[in-house]
This record gives sequence, C-alpha cells and structure tokens, in this order.
Amino acid sequence: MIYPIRTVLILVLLFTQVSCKNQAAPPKVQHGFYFWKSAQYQLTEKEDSILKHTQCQKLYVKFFDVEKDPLFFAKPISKSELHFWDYNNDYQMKKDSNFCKMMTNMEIIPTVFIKNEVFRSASKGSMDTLADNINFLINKHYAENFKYQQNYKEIQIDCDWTAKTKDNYFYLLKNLKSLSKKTISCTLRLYPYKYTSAMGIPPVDKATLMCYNLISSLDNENKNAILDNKELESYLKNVSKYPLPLDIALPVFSWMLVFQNNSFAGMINPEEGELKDALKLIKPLWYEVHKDVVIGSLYLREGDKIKYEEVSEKTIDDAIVILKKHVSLDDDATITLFHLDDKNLSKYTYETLTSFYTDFSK
Amino acid sequence: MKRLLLFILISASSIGQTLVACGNYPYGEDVRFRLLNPYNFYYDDYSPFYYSSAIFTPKSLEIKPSYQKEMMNSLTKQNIELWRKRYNYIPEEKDVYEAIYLLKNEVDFPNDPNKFIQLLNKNKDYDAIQYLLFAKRCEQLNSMIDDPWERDEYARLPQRSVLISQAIEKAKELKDVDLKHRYAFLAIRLSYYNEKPADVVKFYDEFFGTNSPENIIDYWSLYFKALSLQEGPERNYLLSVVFQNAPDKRFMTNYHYEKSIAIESTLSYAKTNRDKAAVWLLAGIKNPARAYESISNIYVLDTHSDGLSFLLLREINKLEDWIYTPYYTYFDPSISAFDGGSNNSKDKNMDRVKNDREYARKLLDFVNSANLDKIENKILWKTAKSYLYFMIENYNSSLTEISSIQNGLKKEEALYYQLETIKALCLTAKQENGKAEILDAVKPILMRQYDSSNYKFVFAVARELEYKGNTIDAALLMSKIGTNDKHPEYVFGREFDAMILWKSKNGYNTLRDDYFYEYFFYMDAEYTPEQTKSVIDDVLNNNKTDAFSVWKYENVKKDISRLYDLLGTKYMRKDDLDNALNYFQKVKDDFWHSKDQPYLVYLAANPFYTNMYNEHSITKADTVHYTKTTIVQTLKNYLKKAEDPMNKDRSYYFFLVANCYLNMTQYGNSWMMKRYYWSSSEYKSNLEDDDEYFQCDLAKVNYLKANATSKNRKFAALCLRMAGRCEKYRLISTDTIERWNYKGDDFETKIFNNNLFYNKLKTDYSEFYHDLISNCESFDNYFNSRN
Repeated sequence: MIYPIRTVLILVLLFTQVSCKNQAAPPKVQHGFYFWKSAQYQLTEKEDSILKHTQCQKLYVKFFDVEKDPLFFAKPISKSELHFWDYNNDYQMKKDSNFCKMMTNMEIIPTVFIKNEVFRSASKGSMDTLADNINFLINKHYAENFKYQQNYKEIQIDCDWTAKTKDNYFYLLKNLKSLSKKTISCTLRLYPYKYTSAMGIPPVDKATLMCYNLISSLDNENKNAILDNKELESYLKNVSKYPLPLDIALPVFSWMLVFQNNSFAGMINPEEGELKDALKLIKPLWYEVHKDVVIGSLYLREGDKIKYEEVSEKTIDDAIVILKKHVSLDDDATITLFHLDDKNLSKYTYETLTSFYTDFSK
Repeated sequence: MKRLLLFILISASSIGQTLVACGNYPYGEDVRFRLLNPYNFYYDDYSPFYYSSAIFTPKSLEIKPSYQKEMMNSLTKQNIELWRKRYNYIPEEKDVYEAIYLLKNEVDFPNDPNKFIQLLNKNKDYDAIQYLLFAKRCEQLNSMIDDPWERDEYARLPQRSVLISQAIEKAKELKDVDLKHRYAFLAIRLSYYNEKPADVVKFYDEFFGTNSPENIIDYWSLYFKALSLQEGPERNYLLSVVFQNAPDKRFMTNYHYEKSIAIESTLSYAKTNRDKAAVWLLAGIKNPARAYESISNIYVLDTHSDGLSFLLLREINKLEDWIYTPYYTYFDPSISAFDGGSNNSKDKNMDRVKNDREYARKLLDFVNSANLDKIENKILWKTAKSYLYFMIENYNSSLTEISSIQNGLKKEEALYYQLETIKALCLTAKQENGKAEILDAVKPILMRQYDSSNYKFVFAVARELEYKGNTIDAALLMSKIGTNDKHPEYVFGREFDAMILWKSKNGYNTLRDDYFYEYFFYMDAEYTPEQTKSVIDDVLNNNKTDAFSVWKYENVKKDISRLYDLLGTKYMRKDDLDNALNYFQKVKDDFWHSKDQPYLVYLAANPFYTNMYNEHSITKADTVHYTKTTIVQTLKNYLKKAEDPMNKDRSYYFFLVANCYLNMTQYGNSWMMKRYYWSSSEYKSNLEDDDEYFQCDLAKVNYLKANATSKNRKFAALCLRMAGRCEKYRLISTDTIERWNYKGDDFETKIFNNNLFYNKLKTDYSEFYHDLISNCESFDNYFNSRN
C-alpha cells in the first residue's frame, strides 16, 4: 500500500512525538529516595543499608510542610528532625569506608511541601516573604543538620496546585530561584502533566512526575489508589512531550484504610502490631477484622473493614514499562522511590528495589 | 533463683504503704516534715510561694479546678473592681467578670444581654464598649510566640504593630483617663511581646509618667516596663512594687527578680516606707534561708501588710522542715545545701536542729514583741507563737496559746484540728523520760488524724514516745502507718501527709536503703530482743476493749507470729540457739507455710548442704523443706553430736554444722535465718552480726574443727578447702579500698594468694590441691571419701 506523502509525514511526526519514546537510547538514571518522616532523628540501620545496597545517589528529605496560618500568613510545620549525620558517633570510626564515603557524597535535596491553600487569595508581597522564609529555613536546617554533607544544589517544592493558584505558586517558584540561586525542581502530578494549558508549566528547572495516588482511595472501592496502571497509562498516552526535563517518582509504600460503621475512621501502617493475624480477606483489596485488636490509637473491632493498598513488584514493573513507553527521560534523569521507611520496604529485597531504577536503563 | 525472688519478699511484707520507686532515694517533698498547713490561712494570692521544696512545680497544676476558679477570681478582682468603680460599684462582680473574661464573640458583644454590657449601653458608654472589643482583639497576641521561621526566638508580628498604633492613637485622643491608660497599657503589653522594649519604656513614660501607680492597670503597665529594663537595681525595685500590688504578676515577678543584686542598691530607688517594704517582701520570698531581716523590716515599714503575715507563715513552714524533718525522721531537711548526694552526718544535723531551735526562739521573741492589734492576721501570728513555743520545747506556753486560739474557733474549722496536732505533740513531749504514755487527750486526736491518713502526725507522736523511752507504744503507733483503708477527702496542702519515711537513730541499713516505711522492718533494725519481747508481751497481756485500744493493737495483734519470728531471728544473730529456738517454737506452724510470708520460697532449700561454689542456686540436696524452728533443732542436734568425743562421725557433723552456718550468711540458701532483706550489693546493715554475716567466721571455725577431727585425709583436705572458701569471703569483705584499685583478675589473684587456708591446703595436702582448687566437680568424690 502506498500512502500519500502528507499522511506519511503526519504519521512520522506522531510516531516521533507520541509513541516512539522507547526508540531513544535508554537513560543512565540516578537512584533516589524520598525521606518523608518528621519525627525521626536519624536513619535506622536498615534504612542505611537500603541506601547502600540500592546505591542511592540522591535523598529528597522533606524539611517541612507549609500551611496557611492566621498570624503568620503561612508557617512551617512538621519540621524534619533528621540529622545526616553525626560524626561523633559510630560513623567517625568508619569514615574511610566506602559506605561512609558514599553516604557523605550522597546529594541531599531539601524538599518542602506547600499546601495549596497557601496560594489562595495571597498577595505578591506575602509570596515574596514566603519565598524568603523558605529559603532562610532551608539554609538554616541544612547548615545545622547536614553539616558534613556537600552543600545542596537543588530545592524541590511539592504542591498540588490548581488552575486558580498557579499564578501565585509560579511566582513563588521564580522568586525562590532568584533568592536561592539553586536548581529548583517541583513535583508534577499526572493531571497537570496532561493538561498543561489549564495548569500551566511551572517555572522550574525540572519536574518530578509523581506516578502514584492518582485517584481517591475512598471514592474507588475496587481500585488500588496508590498505583493503578490503567489509570496511569490513561494520563500518559497521547500526551505531547512535557517541556521540562522530567524525573520519575514511584511508590514503594502501602497503607490500610480503616472503615468503622461504613465510615472512614483512619489510616494505619500495615506493619504495625499483630494486625495481620486479626484480618481475613473478604475480596480483593478488602479485609475484615475477625478479632478485636488495638493498633496505635485505633481500636479495631470485629467486623470493621479494612482496605489494604500495597504495591507489588509486578505492578511497579508494569508501571515502568508504561513509563518507558510514554515518557521520554534525559540521560541524567532521577528515579525516586517514595519513601525510605524500613517497615514499608521490608517486603522488597534490595535487588528488587535496585531493579526499579535499573529497569529504566534497559 | 533466690536473688530473683528478692522483691517478692519485700512486697509480700509491706502493708499498703506507697513505696518510693526503686532506684529513687527520697528527697524534697517525699521527706519534708510539715504539720502546719498554709492553706488554712487563705493566702491564695501568695499560694505559689507556700514553702515547698518543689520550687519549680507550678502550683496551678496541683490545684483542683474549682479552686482554680476561685483563685482566678482573686487574681482578677482588682481589674473587676476598677470597672465597677467606673459605675459606683453598681454592676455585680460576676457580670463584669463575664463581660471581660468570658465573652469571646466580638460580633455579638455590644448587644450581649450581659448586665454590665447593658449598663454600658444604657449610659452610652460606647468608648468603653469599643475598648473592650479592642482588648479582645489583642488577646490572642498577648504572649510570646515562637518564630516558626526561626529567624528570631520570638516572632515580631505586623498584626501587633497595627494594633499598637491604633491603641496609641486612642490613648492620645481620649479624655477619659481610665480608658486612656487602658489603651496605653494594651500598647505597652503588645510592644513587649513584639520585642520592642524601648517602645515599652517610651509609652510608659509618656502615658504614666512619674506619677505613683494607683490601680491595677498602672501596675500591669509597670510590670512590662520593669521587664523591658536591663537587669539591675531599678528593675528589681519595679518588680518588687509590682509583686506587692499585682497578685496575678507575682509568679513572674518572682521569676525575673535578680537575687544577686544587693538589696541596699534596690532600696535606694524606694521613696516611701511601703515601697521599701515591697523590696523587703520580694527579697524575703526569694530567700530560702532565714528571712528574719525581711520580716522585722516590713513590720517597721508596713506593719499591716498581708505580705508580712505571709512571710511569717512561710518562715514557720521553713522552721518545721529544718527542725522536724531531721528530728523526727533523720532525713536532711527538704531544702538544704546540696552536698553531692551524701547526707549530712546525724550529729551535724542535730547541731543544726539546735541552731534552728535558737532561731525559732529569736523569731518567737519578735512575734511576742509585735503589736498584734496592728498586724493583718492575728490568728496566724498567735498560731505561729504556739508552734514556735513547741519548737523551743516550751510546751506549757504552747498549750496555753493553743487553748486561747481554740476558744475563738469553731470545732469544725480546719485550723482547730491543726492546732490539735501541735497540742498532742506538746502533751506527749512534755512527759517525763521513762514515764511517757499516750495520754487520754491525745488518743482521739491520733484516731482522727489516722482517719485522714495523716501518718506524718501519727509517726511524730510515736517518735516522741520512743524518745521518751516508751518503745512499746511507739511500735504500736508505727504499726498503724499506711494501714488506713478509707480514702480521706482531698485537702489542699495535705497531699503528703500520708507519706512518712524515716531512718533509724543508730544508722541501720537493713533494707535496700537506710530508711523505713513499716514498723516491722524498723523493729528488726532498731529494737533489742528485750524491747521486741516487751512489745509482744504488751500485746498478749492487753485485755482492754475501748475503741482506742482496739485501734492501737489491731495490727500488731495479727502479727504475733511474725514478731516471734523476728525475736528468734534476733537471737540467731547472737548465735543464741536456745533462745532462738524458744521463740521460733512460739510461732504458729502455719506461719512458716503461709503464702503471705516469704519462707516457702526463701527456706525451700537444704541448709546443711553446700559445696565449694554454690551460694543460692538450687542443688540436688534441696529435697527437704525446713522451717526456722526445724533448722535450729537440727543444727543443735548436729552440734551435740559433733561435740561428743565419743561420736565416731564428729568431723561429718562439724562439716554439716559448718554448712548450715555458711548457708545462714550472705552467701547461702538460708540467709533469712539472719536477715529480712538480701542484696547482691552486700550493703552493710550495721547490725551486730554483720562481721559474721559477711565473713562466715562460724562456718570457718566448724570446717576447721571438721578438718581437725577427720580421720580421712581426703575429707580433711575438703574441710580445709571449705574453710578457704569462708576465708575468701572474709578477705573480700574486709577489703574496702584495694578492690577498686585492681582491674579484672588482679583482685581475685590477690585474694587467692592471701588465703591462709588455700596455702595450707597446698603445703599440707599437696596431692589433692589441684583437684580441689580447679576441678569444680570434685566435691562429691571428697565428701564421700570419709566412708
């Protein structure tokens, strides 16, 4: 069959812009983790070990959240306690070891989560102050808690911005770049990734595509809200190349949503207490409590329902295939796993975790 | 096993008394002796400064909610009165209180049905309403707020700056002096919290100037001015004036007052007598030592002030701590110079008590010289007088004073009962040595105080009787401590009445530490066998059935077997086996097998068996169960056979006797024959047989006798080896310093080389030496060789 030349050209264009992301040479991705816990003073031995075995190069540490405040307009909460690390302790003894060198050379990226409400009805002046405050506090905490690390090069801002707040948000990002003189990256949900005209392109040096929490867990009874690959692909396919260098964030966590009297009662960590012994599978994703048990501050009673969402190795592998198919990555793109937590990661081997990075390079 | 079960013994023996947590030595409020409850004198405005060793505990945490409300009213009273004054005191306090402190809704505020607000509306006092609304807007900013962005310690808020400007504008614009000052005060307070000390001083000087403060708004403003000044005498002076006049600022002025600044330089700022008295008052409050100078100066400068009476009350509470904590309990006073953890010697404490009684005399002379018609709280001064007479041991004058106060009181008043306790102690203490008893007048007081679990008082009476030689009634009263099952109503200031811990006069340390909480253990340490027997005899001979006698005897009556056990044990310490057996035989047989007693566990072993190493572990010989009685009977029987020259097995019986003596020491399975508490730490108890208990002399003597009488050379060598084991304990126990200078095995080596009996074993029984010293399984071989 002979196609008219115009049709061929169109097909070629489409092929290069949309479908043929896997035609380029595979990127040599960098290995990253998010550290999102606020009340942990130092990494556990297991977490140290995970970083070592996965050859992690970048650790995105959430320094603090920013929320709206009646007195301060916006204030930082949930400040990280993480100290990375203390040469006066054990590491001093081993500072010439390869492991120690690797850890000191690991790049720490201060990360700040800003609630979207902060950008509603905000003045430019308040945005100027906020950018200045964020920059100040990052510098202060980095100097205090990471004094043995090399200075940081990048700041990442995490925000679930909307069309209505994008102007203020983008203004803040620009301001932060100008104040900090650092690389500024931001997180990018799939919705703004797909709908760029409505959501705008953030004025940053690069963005991390967050491939999880695509849907509401409470509204999608039969879907795994952490990572549903059909949903993921629906956002990625037929999308033009995003005009910023992209990194990828993948989920390696699980959670349990507790429903009492058919109402959402809270979230619990699946690894806590003697929880698993008290549960009986009733249908995919759903369990029923068959004996009373106290988990944290929640008293689970017989008959309560639990939606257990976790991400299997295969689900992530499938997601990687989808991502490789639809998203073009630069050679130095970073793949970041959310998040570094020894309990949550106990179900993955080191090899499996490492494969979540290296599969992008195959 | 026996070590692990140690605490069972203690818990099984204690009767309901709250124990101090393991590992904490009692101090402060745990040990402070107090009879005079300051809450009986209603100095609510000074309550954070009631004498206490817990000086860093905010008092508000200790106060019941209802009381907190009353205190809040007392603290806000002056502001409420100032508002009432604006309308000739027509509005009721509660309406003003509600309008100012409770109504939060700013929108509805002007139309609220609150009677005070209605009154303001009726009088078209819109300026006042506007002021109240403005003040409410300032409320949430009236505190230091941490700077969340960490640029400064505290945040400077633009919202405050806006309000400050508005307040200053109003203060300038209004003609109404009252509201003008109130606005100025708000500006001053907001400036302080916005960390603008220079503005605070500027606004104060502009609106309050050099006029003497007159009302609570003036003093509140002065407070913030004081805090905005650099540390120095002027600041101390202003803080003192605020302390004197603004009750709600007392806690914080006390906190900010700098003690190290000489009072003379602070006094130089005070122009009036009342201001000078203010300086002496805060200096007195800050003074944990004798505050006589403050008291006597304030008396001259400001005789009628409530601060003067309060300082006197505080001084009485100090004195009872300084005198009676050591006098009754032998603990150091709760507030004393920190001496690195070691307690002062008993003699030094008693010298100090003597000095403090002299100070009580000096204070009494002052109180006696004061014109009570001019002071603010006559009844407090008279109570102080009665207590001070008691402190200087002038019991008759104390009783006369108490009687005169009680005549003016109703019986249900707390102070009436308070005075009763001092009266009971006076009546008891004034008796002649050797003839003291529990007087009829004291009996109902004891029972009443016991019902409210005031064990401190019950113990004080017991101690007075003990000091007077009546150790029987002392023990009987001490047996009541911690045994009241009723839960008395909570009374402020009496939270620690139910806690009494005491030491022995002679420094016995028979429990984990050197203090006691139950009469039985105290008797174990302090009472002679004769005194113990007298207590038993008194209980057995009692046939009185009146309520007090029933109350007094009820606990000890149930403890007769326990006391016979104690008496026998005391004779065991003397190695008086006949007397020990005599009293053990009076113990009811089921006592030894009772689950409430420790013996099913602690005597569940064979005292006549041990080997070269065993101390408390279970052995193959533990197939029999002895009581203290049967142990002594068997021991006497073996001793008789051992000492019979005609007996062919003398060495064997000497060996068994020696085993038993060894097992009745710190290192054996039957240590309960001599002690009621065991610790691996080898605390010396100071009991008469400590040397035997830790050095195993009786065991050693009998092993040597076994050696001397043995006809079998191999068995004789074993006897010497066992004597060597006893000698090892002696060498370790008598080494007090060198042990800590050696490291690792060096000390063990030194002890081993110095052991006479091991050396003798080596020279006299060289063929068995290595086997006996190094082969831990050789015991049976040598023991059986005598056959």
